[in-house]
Amino acid sequence: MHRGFTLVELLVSLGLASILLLVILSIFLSSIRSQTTQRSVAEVEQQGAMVMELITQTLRNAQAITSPAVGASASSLTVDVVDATEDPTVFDLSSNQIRITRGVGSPITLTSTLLTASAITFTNVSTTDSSGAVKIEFTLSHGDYDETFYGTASLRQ
Amino acid sequence: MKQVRFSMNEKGMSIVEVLIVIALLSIVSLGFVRWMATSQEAALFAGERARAVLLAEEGLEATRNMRDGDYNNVTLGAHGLAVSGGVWTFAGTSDTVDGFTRVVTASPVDASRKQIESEVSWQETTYHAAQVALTTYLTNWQAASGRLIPITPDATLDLTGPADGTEVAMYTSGLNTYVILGRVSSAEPELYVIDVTDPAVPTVVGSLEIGADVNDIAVVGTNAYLATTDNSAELRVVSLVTPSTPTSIGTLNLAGNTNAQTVVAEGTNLYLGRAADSTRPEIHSISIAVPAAPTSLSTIEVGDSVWKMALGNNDDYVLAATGSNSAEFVVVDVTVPALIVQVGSLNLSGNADGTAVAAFSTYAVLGRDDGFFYTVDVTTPSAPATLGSMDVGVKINDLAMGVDDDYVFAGNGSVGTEVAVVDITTLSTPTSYYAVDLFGNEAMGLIWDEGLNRVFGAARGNTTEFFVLIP
Repeated sequence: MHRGFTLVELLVSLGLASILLLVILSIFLSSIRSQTTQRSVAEVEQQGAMVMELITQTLRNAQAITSPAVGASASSLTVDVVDATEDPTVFDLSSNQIRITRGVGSPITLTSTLLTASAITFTNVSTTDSSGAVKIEFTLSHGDYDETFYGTASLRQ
Repeated sequence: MKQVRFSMNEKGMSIVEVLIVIALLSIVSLGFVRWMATSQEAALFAGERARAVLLAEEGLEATRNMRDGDYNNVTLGAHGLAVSGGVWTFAGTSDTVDGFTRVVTASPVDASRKQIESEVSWQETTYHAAQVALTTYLTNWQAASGRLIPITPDATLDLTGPADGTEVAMYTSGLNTYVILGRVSSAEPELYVIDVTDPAVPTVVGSLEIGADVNDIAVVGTNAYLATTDNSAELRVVSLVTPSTPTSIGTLNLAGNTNAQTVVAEGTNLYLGRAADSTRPEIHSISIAVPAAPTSLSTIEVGDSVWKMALGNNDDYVLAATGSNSAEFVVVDVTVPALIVQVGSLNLSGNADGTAVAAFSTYAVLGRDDGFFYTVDVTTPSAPATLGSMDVGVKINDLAMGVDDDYVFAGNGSVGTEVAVVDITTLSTPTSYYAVDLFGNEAMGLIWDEGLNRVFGAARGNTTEFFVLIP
């Protein structure tokens, strides 16, 4: 009787232990997955917000929109800024990265190589008699997480 | 048996213990899983919120650009946004982008400010709706002129002699802007050309002796057309080609001796109104195709004095303020200048004469001898209708439309409030907006210039024949 019970006990404890291990393993795995997702989300959201902020700020301070023309859309934006050394300032997309080019300087990438930027569209939505406005759209993705960012900025001149 | 039972009981306890441990562990791990899920959600929610803020900002920026185009583009109420015809416009009551619903609400603050709230809402989870709202104020900066109080005298001119000022008109020559001022007859000239390019320092550059009262002035091109009390030249044409030497180049003598009171002109047509003559017509349609030789085209009988006229409804109608007790306001169709026809009239209560009129769009404002002010709908010229009225004080001598046709300057005879500013934003309820004190110098003629942001006026006063008001 005693042995029988001991065997059952062993089996039960082995069973329990393996269940426990499985649970712990799955928690561990999902924690890693969650961390990866979180990093994707954070990368995409933070960089997207930062790029949008930079573009809208540049537009608000700009003197004029050089291209696209009023009513037109393009994948790059050229603005006439106050500082002559940074004139013109161009935003565009190259090798899946959003770039800014200030004056004759070389392009500076705004998004990290970890991200894939796509579908960037600048639409000149300036109302007649206004100093100008541009609608901005772009998509950032990291792994299988992607987001599209929308924004509009009016020139303050 | 007892021993077995005992040991069985012991084993049972162990299992219970293990179960408790498992339960505790699963509670802890559940907490851990929940914590992970929450932190992941938090990152997502923060991202969603950041994008919602961008969309809300876009709402404000789009509205701001619409305002930059025209303040009136920003209509009150809750709106969605859409790019239509290459520009942002209000469309519907909300718009949805990637699951974010945006509502831009414009609410009134005062005449030149609107509060704009851009609210973006979205479903964070099935059970929780989140929203962000940004608020800003947009001002009608382009039309700030003419709306600001106080309105104060910017400059006045004391012309030689005591003769009162009667009316003003404006014209530009080269880079300079001039006001033409008429006076009542005296030993001094009756017509003055005043350079107001710098409105703070008006300067008389030329004058001309007319030999009679100048009651009204209309300017077309570089010619001024004067309605005078001259019995042999009720209409006189003065060339202003050289502002320093205004020169009389033509006259028109109308039958009878009643005074010409008012004149309006547009293109090659001029309309002149006279004081009552029982046997002759009061409104004349005159061709000024050859400015030096105006010729009478047609006339109509109004039955009483015509004190002031204005061109309304796209210059297709002459709106006249008359002395008639049964038709203080008369609408004359002038689409065919050679055959002008009275098509409608308005009988206001009481017998006070209509003394001043101004027109905009398909509406008119009318002033009377008793100081009452009316807004009149002339959309149907055959049936003009009163929309609203208010008491301005004493006899209204002249009316001038202000910015956006929301304000009217009323020159009148009440001491201390000689220029009343009436807010007609709501046509049915004209309200007093401000009044300018000209210190007893009755305002006789007024004109508003948007470019210079000034009101120019002629006054009855020995020392203040001409005044400039700065809003």
